[in-house]
Amino acid sequence: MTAIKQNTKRSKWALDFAHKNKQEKNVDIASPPGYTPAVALFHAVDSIRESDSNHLIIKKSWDLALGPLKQVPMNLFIMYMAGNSISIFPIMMVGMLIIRPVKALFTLQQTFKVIEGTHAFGQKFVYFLGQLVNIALALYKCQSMGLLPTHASDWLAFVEPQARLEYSSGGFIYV
Amino acid sequence: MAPFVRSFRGNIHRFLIDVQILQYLIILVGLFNLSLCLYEDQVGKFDWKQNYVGKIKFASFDTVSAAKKIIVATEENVIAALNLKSGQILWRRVLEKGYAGQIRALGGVTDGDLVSVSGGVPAIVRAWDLATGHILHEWPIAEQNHDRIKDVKWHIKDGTLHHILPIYNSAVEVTSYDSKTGDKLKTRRVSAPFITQETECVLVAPYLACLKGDSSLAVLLLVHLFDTHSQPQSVTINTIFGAGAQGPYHLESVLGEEPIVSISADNNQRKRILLVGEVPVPIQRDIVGDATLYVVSVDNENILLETTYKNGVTEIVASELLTSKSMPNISTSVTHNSLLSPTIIASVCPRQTKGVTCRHLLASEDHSVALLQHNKLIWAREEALANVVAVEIIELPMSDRDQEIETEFDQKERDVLSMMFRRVGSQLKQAKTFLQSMLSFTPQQSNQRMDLVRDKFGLHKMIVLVTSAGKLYGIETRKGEIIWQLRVRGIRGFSKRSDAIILYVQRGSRHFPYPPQCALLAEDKQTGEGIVYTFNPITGQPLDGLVKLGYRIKQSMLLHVTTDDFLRGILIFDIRDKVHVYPKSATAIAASIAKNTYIFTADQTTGILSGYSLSYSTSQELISHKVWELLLSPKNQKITHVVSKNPIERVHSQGRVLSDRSVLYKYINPNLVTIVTEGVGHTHKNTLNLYLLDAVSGAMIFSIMHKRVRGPVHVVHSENWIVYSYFNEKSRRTEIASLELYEGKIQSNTTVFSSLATTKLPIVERQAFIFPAAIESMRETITEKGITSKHIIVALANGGILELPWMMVDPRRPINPEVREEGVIPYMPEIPIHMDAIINYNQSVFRVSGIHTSPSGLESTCLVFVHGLDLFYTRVAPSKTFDVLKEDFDYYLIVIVLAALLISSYITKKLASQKAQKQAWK
Repeated sequence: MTAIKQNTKRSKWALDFAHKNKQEKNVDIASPPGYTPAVALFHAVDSIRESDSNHLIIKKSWDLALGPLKQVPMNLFIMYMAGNSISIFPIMMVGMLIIRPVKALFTLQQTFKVIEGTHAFGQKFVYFLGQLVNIALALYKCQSMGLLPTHASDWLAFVEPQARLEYSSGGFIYV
Repeated sequence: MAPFVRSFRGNIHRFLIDVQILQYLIILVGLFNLSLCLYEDQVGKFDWKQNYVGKIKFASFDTVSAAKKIIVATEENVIAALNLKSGQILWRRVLEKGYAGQIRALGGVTDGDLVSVSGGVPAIVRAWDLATGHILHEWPIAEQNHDRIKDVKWHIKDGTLHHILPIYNSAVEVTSYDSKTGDKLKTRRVSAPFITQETECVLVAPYLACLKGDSSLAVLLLVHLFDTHSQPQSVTINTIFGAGAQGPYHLESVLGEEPIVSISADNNQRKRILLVGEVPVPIQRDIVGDATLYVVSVDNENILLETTYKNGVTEIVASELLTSKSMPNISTSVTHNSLLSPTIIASVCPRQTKGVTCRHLLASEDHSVALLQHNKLIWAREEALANVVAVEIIELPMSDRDQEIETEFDQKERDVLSMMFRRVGSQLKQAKTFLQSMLSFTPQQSNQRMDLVRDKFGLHKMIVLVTSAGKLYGIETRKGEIIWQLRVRGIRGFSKRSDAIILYVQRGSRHFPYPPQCALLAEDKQTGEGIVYTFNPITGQPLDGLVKLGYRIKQSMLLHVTTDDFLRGILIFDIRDKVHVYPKSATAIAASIAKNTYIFTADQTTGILSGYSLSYSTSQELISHKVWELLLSPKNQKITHVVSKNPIERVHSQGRVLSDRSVLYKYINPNLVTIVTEGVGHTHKNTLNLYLLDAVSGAMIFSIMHKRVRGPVHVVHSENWIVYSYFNEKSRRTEIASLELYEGKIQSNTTVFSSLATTKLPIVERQAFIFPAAIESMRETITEKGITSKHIIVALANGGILELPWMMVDPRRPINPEVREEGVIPYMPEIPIHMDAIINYNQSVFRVSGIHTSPSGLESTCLVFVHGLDLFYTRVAPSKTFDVLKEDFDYYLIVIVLAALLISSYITKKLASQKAQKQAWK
């Protein structure tokens, strides 16, 4: 009851932030001081150029898609600098080189969630390709470091002993 | 008063200072001791050693020295002093091995100096210090007649050594030497024309007694050795035995100080003794034939001791020598487990305040020695252990509780309800035993000792030893305690294989409830026919007892398959090439695998090797069929070694990685046998041939000849390599050569190995190394899975046992140092002996006859048992103990650190959440 009373009794300059009635929604409130509708108008004008922004998205997403390929020269340089010796830092580097593209491939869908448009498939493909190139590079590095089990000796531990077919025994005669 | 007090105080003060200095001194000495003990905290922790002397040959009580002891000389060429009270060895001197060190006489103990004569040509006389066993004098006797050395008799008396040689049909030559300096004192010839090659003569100083003829007309002739003018006295058998004694007669000298001979008659049924002197006195009393005699003097009176053994009771009957009056206060009767047909070999009866107490040193038939003091056995030594012929190391059985669990889950049917009942039942039983033990009712009835159970790592095992005396021992590995001993009477080792007795483990202790079973293969002492003796290796109980086979055994083999009750049968190959199976119940299983079973034999006398196949066998009978034959020692060569691989060996790595990361596959032929022949080559140089032979196909895989090389040869054959040692005559040094076999870079067949389908010969790598010590025995280590690298255990002649990494004798050690492979050391001709690789540190073991290795439950650890004159047991870890935490591992530290981390993570979590909350409120 008191609230209604207050509402009825409200003066002209009072602003009530707490309560908002349906009737009051459409009440025209004066613009705050310093507000010029012209600025808002300017924004509205900017949003008119929608097709232009779409182009930008495509451009941005191409950037994203080509990112892995752009990394290749840098990776090559890192590989060259790391050398072929097996020690903790080169191993860490090579590990990063492998893990990053693999991780990126797994999160491919998430990365491209934001990207839509006509080029989406091509971008995805290029991105995928770039990551593959990176993986290949890392594998090549592993190979040159001798970390890949490509030799027969790497599988020696799994070679089963030959089963024995014949059994023999004997020695000096006893008598 | 005051000065007195002051001086008193001063004295006290000085005294205190003195005490302090003394304390410091004690501490200092203690520290010195400690510093000596550095690195010795593990001494005797994993190893033990037992010293033995061997079967006693001569013994005498040392009553002249301050410390009473017994001096013994043994068949193992050892002179030792034993503690009278405990039987421990006070000192022991090991003489030369074999014939060159054979002890021929021991004497002079009563005079306070010990003199021994040993060896053959030349005999070496040594005078020993009684207290310490140091050599005081040593000199050789140049023997004139080399072939008569075994007829020479020695007599040591009053510092003079008499060398007595009967010359056939003429005289007895007595040469006297000063036993200390070796000066020849006198040479006499006492005429005795009656001595021929057949005459049986014994020395009863100062007489030589000879028995001539073996009919009733036999005559005993006595020659005084130190009186050249005296004529030989003769005593007829009839004057000794009276009429009616039947031959053959046998003459023996009675041990003791008096010159007495005993003559047995009536096929050793009875015997009589004769006191030899100026007038020989025969004692007219029959003595039982199997009694052994000894004459001891008590208060200047000669007492005859007759020892008999019947049904485990040893009886020593004493009687006065001349009057035959029995002396019950000296006679004794003893029942003891460690006595078996004992004979008195030394005896003293000193007069003490309480009366006469006799001490007898008894040597039993099974080589054990015991000291008897007034019908009480003071100590006994198991000297049979100085001559071990076969060894097996066997796992101990599970504990009773584990066995219960095993029976619980071992049932075939898997019914839920019955399983639950069983579970509840066994738990009730456990609760009952627990309550019983709590209320200390009757102690838990167990058929085994509580500590004789399998441990977690399989390090505690049972060593089963077979000795040449036919006595078996079970020794646990932790302390070396003898758990059981077992005498098998009437057996002997196979004569052609240097008295070897074959020991097979037919069933291990993993197959509860079946008892473990070992089988012994030997010869019957009388007939020479084969016997099988089965026993339980854990308890020492005979299982089937002695089974006489009724044929002579030529070869034998343990089957690799088991019957339904997990028993591995033994294939016995008799002298007529017939194959038998023991036990009979294993015939069916043996026949089922006979198609792939082969036996080979090597005849040392003819040099013929033959291989037999059993493929023609039917399901009832095994039939052998000769498939190959090879004559290996054509001229002047003799097969000395036939070495197969250890049948339980497993090879983990099938190849070797080369520097270019390719694989060189090993040639692992389980049927490969190394054969060594030694002899004289074409130009009268000693040569040694080594052949690698496939025992199935008879194919010669490889052969090599070493010129100017002789034994002793020791061969180790394992995996794909052979390491052997020999003596290089040209350079006069011991060398170790090693061979390694490789199939090549491609495996011809990756799944199975068949000797009959081999396509090409393996690649053989070889190298030789100089070894700077003489080798007594060699053996490779073995582990459960074969992952651990191999070491070679080498027993050195200086008493050390060296653990030599196989890597050191790897034949692929590159001569060109640029070619590097992983884990390969560049070639160096000499193998260094590192003192820290001597696994028995200062506990030297002598006369090593063999090394036995056995895998433990841990892959890293191998159990090593060395036998010879001494027994030594230890464990080695060739690749370090990679599967066990170190002993000094800090459990507390890791627990504390873990707990601290846990707590701190919990606290930080709390703190972090609090902080986040605060931040949110800001």
